[in-house]
Amino acid sequence: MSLIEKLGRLWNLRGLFFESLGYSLIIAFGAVVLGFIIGVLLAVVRIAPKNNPIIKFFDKIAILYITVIRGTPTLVQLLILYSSVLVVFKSMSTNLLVPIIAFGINSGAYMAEIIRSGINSVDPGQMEAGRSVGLSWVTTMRKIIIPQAIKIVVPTIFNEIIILVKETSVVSYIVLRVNGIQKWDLLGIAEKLGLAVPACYLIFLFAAALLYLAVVMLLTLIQHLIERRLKKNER
Amino acid sequence: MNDNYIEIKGLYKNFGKLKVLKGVSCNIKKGEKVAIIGASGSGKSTMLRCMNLLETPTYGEVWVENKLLTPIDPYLHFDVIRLSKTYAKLSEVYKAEHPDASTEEIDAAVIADIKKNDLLKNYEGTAYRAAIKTLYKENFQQVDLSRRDMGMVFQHFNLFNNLTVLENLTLAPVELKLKTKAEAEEKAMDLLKRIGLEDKAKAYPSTLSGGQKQRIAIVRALAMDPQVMLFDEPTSALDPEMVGEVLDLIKKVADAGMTVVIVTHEMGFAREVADRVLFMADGVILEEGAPEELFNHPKNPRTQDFLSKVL
Ligand SMILES: Nc1ncnc2c1ncn2[C@@H]1O[C@H](COP(=O)(O)OP(=O)(O)O)[C@@H](O)[C@H]1O
Ligand SMILES: [Mg+2]
Repeated sequence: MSLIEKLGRLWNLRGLFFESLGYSLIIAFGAVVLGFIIGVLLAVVRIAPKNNPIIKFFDKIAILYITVIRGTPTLVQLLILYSSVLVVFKSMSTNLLVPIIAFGINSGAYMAEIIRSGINSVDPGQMEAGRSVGLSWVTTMRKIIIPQAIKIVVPTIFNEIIILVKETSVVSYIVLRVNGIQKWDLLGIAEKLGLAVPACYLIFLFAAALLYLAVVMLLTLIQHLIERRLKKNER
Repeated sequence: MNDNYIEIKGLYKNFGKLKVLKGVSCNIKKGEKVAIIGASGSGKSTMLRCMNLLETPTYGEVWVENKLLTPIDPYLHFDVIRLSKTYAKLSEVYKAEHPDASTEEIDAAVIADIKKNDLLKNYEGTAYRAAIKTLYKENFQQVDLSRRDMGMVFQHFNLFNNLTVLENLTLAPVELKLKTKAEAEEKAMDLLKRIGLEDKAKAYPSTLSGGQKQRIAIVRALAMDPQVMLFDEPTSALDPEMVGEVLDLIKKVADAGMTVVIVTHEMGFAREVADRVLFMADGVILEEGAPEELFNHPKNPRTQDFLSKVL
């Protein structure tokens, strides 16, 4: 087989890689959305004035959540959720939701801390000024604090999203299924093909790495566009 | 009922173990200009910030226009106590025992008894609990309502950084549905014109000088049509050449009849504008009086000492 032929065969595998990239992105995207929602909720609970027992109770829960999730490895959390789901449902024909929820729960804890510290880093004088003209805590948050906090947290949130995209590669530890058929994420497909053609393992890994890199660069571009947009209304 | 706009009764404020206010009482009448002076750390800002409950006092009461702002203990609140069955029953008993007592005497004795022995909690029905709840809620909402009438100006301006100058002035009136957007903008432009900054309407605060920021902070408060203006060292963070423009504006506001409470280190300004000067030290009001009285003939040695250093 000539070198050209070999390369041609490898090139024919691109569809598999793109499909797997798709699954990685679906999982990452779902997890980012879920993580962001969890993060906002936790951050609001952590920041709300602790003037009634219900908020205090939820605050304790939020602290526990953040401590436990940040204190244990993502892979362990994924495997625990995956195994628990197996125990309860025996088999699922489509189980993409399992890694989405696992990574979403995981990311939520980090997002919560990012959002909380972003809100806390807004000058407390802003809240005082809002309250002093008679605006409620919620209105001041909405109109004054959160718009300023967003500007502060955009870089860190994107950092978290980028880490999350790459971290989805640990799903290759579990068996993904879509409509009863086994599927692989980006790292997973490189591993699987590498087992079949050990001589090309490195090439497959490089291909996966390149695709992760492309996604991260795209995200970085989006981040810069958003940052520039946010900076505009200040001059 | 009386003509005091703000009444402070026996105010204490602790930050953790630190006792900052140790029993402050004072009344501010409508239209009055009151200057608060005293060494740094004596509790001036804390007292001012208690007036609109930016700080919640540890003990004591703040009344604004005869409305209680500090959190009530509904079980100990007079109006609620008088609604209770316990009050009715005890009044009967007391009347029988003291046939000569006046209504006021009976009222005072019964309320004292109820408070002392905490008689209400267990014996009252749902109607009473509903009354407590309503009162509690009204008291809670009163703070935001009263703040609309109390403009506050901070040492560090605290303009809303994410909004333009115009939006800084219109946000609260529009959000609180006191004015339509058009009305609020008209009023805002009018105010900006008066301070000669109408060309800054579309600018963001980060582009303004300190003096401009503070004058805009003052008209932001005025945009709410307040009854009283609270100033916390409005010129202390300014470069010296900008102090004058800000003091001029405050004087204009005062001369227009506004009730003013100002914490300041500008003794000349206090003397010129204030009707009454309060000297604070160690969390209490040590001495108060008309400016010429307090500045020229201070009675307390600590006032004398303070004034000899700053004048
Ligand atoms: N939020 C706070 N937490 C803790 N201590 C405070 C707080 N605000 C003020 N203090 C303390 O209370 C004291 C009085 O402060 P303040 O009322 O600002 O004095 P002044 O305005 O007269 O300089 C100071 O010792 C200050 O450190
Ligand atoms: Mg102060």
